[in-house]
Amino acid sequence: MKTQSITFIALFLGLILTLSLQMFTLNQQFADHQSIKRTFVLFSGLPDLSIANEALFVRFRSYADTFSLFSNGPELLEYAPSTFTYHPAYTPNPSRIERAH
Amino acid sequence: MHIKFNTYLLAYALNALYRRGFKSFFTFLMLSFITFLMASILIIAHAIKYELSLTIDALPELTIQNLQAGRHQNISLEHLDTLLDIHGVQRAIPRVWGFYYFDNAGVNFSVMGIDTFDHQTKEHLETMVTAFDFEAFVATPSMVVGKGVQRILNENYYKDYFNFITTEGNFQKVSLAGVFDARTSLESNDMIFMPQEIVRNIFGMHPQEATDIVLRIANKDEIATIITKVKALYPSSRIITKEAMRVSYQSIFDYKSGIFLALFLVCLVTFLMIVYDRASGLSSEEKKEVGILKAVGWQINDILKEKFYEASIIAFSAFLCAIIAALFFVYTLQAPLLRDIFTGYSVLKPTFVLPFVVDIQMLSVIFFLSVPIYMAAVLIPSWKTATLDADEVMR
Amino acid sequence: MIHLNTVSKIFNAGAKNAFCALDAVSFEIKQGEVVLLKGASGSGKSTLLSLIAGLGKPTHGEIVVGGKHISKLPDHFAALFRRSSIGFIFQKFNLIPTLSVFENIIVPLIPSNIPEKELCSRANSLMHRFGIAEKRETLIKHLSGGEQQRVVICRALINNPRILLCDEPTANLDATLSYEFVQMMQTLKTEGKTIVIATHDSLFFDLPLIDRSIELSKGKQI
Ligand SMILES: Nc1ncnc2c1ncn2[C@@H]1O[C@H](COP(=O)(O)OP(=O)(O)O)[C@@H](O)[C@H]1O
Ligand SMILES: [Mg+2]
Repeated sequence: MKTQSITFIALFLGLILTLSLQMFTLNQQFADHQSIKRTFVLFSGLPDLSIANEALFVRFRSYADTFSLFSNGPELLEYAPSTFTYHPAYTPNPSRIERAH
Repeated sequence: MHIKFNTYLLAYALNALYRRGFKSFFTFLMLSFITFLMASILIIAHAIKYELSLTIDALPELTIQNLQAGRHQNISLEHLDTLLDIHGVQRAIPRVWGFYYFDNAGVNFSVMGIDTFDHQTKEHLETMVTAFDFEAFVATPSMVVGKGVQRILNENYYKDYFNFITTEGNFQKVSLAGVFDARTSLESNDMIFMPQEIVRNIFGMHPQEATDIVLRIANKDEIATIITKVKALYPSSRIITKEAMRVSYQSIFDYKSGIFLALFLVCLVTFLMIVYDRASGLSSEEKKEVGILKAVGWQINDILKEKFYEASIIAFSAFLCAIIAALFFVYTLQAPLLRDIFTGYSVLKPTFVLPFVVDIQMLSVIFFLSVPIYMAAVLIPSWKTATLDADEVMR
Repeated sequence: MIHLNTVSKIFNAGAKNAFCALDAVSFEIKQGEVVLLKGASGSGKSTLLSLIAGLGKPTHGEIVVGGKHISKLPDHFAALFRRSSIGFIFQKFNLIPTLSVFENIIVPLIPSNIPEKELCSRANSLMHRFGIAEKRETLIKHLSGGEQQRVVICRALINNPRILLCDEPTANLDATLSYEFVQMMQTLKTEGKTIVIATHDSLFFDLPLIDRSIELSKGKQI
């Protein structure tokens, strides 16, 4: 009965060890990513990520205004699935559409 | 009081799980899967946020766009020198950039003109592109592209050059001088960089015009006055500050995580359903077992301890397995399937090289969203059964 | 040793289907006595035994076992008392079918967390004594009725209790096995255990083993 518990505890510790090892290696692996990414943004000067790039107001959403989006169809305002991270830049005088949000 | 850890109880709990074989395994799988899903989404979302807020620092402080009739138009460069003369402006850089639609693949490339005379350009390109030959780059019309662009071009048999079609309908041959480091893929995937003159040629832009002008400003406090001065120079302009972008990012992160919310809700509902299933009672065998244990002299707290071990074994190992799997899934496999939720219907999908920003805080959020809920779901019905008279439970 | 004072048990008291299983039962059993609890099926024998063991609480009256008011003891202490002083041989055995013989026998010892050596030696000697040592690792569900009963006896004795409560011990046994059971009780009696046997099996009625009998009929003592 005791050996069973010990086996389990060993397995459990093994899991913890695996996780720490994984965290460690990933940390190492990704450690040098940030500086090169910054260099790129410094170089390009363009905002946002290229994970969705079908139109100007999606790819460089921070540069787009509410209306360019709106002129292509009001429903695009919630430009699923990227709305969660892309949004027209904040304006001090929000439009009616923006106020609605 | 010294309480010796009771290994028999642990062994009994392990044995109980083993005896219930399929059921335990199924619960473990479900719990792992849901935690895994939750963890993956959280990690990706957090990584994207982190990436955005980190790269925003490198952006220019002000971007001046020209609006005409509410539409973004090219901006004239006649006031460029005046802009530079504004106190506090370090650099005023006219930029030429836009989209180039590649018909064959149905893809939009983002094309950006670079200033080859800028002393930093060479240095930057050499850090980001392996074995980059700047002299050759300048000598013939050349471009540096992101991984995604390279892939699309390759698929269309453009191995080392590409023929752009200018607005006049002529070909502009541009040779491929290099590909950006894969680590920048999240930013560079759809980008093409080439000397500004070539971009102007392709887009048919007047030499005295630019897409926008960016200003680099050293002192944050001067931004407000600079904006008023720029506004006077370009009355029809729209000026986007870095701060405004930061605010808009932040406001999105704060409350507009609609997709996450939706996904989370699905996760949570599934989770609660499982929990409800558990909480709606023990099976008759489990109940009987509790009765027997009581009858042979186990106290309520012994029974609860045993159940606690059972639940912990499942919950903790499921949690650990889920985290290990999620990290592997997101960072090693680059989140297949799940990344489609984030990239949408893009044709030009980037390799999903997210920054690694998993920390204790994030792990504890995932932990508290999964483990205690499950534990409660097991312990509450057990406690209910254990407090009944043994007599009643056994029959 | 066991003292009952006008003990009544009403199931579902107050409800429409209220049922009086025991009605003002009083008796006393001394230490070392072997008492037979007679009565037809449904007369309340099992109910009475489980009240003595503290598995349920009487509706009225009080039960004192080994100097403890078991009927008033909080659950926590009742369990402790049960563990240390009472061995219960259930009619339906109440073994855990997916555990092995050995594992079933040591279940009452688990909360005490005693050293593994002692635990094994206790279980092994009991298994030898009752002749199920070679079935040590067999699962309960693979055992015959007689073997299961031995396991129940071993489990009841593992904590070395002073009192042994047997509920219809021979109901699932054939004549030979029943006789064996009587033999076992005989040896236990010589060890000085107080034994209560609830049964309607006439086998027990005129045994020299039995010191005294108490008869129940429809919950009433006769
Ligand atoms: N939990 C209960 N709820 C309602 N009735 C019960 C309950 N337990 C026992 N009874 C009833 O009490 C009576 C006595 O039961 P029991 O003590 O098992 O009898 P015996 O063991 O003498 O055959 C039976 O009629 C039975 O139906
Ligand atoms: Mg009975």
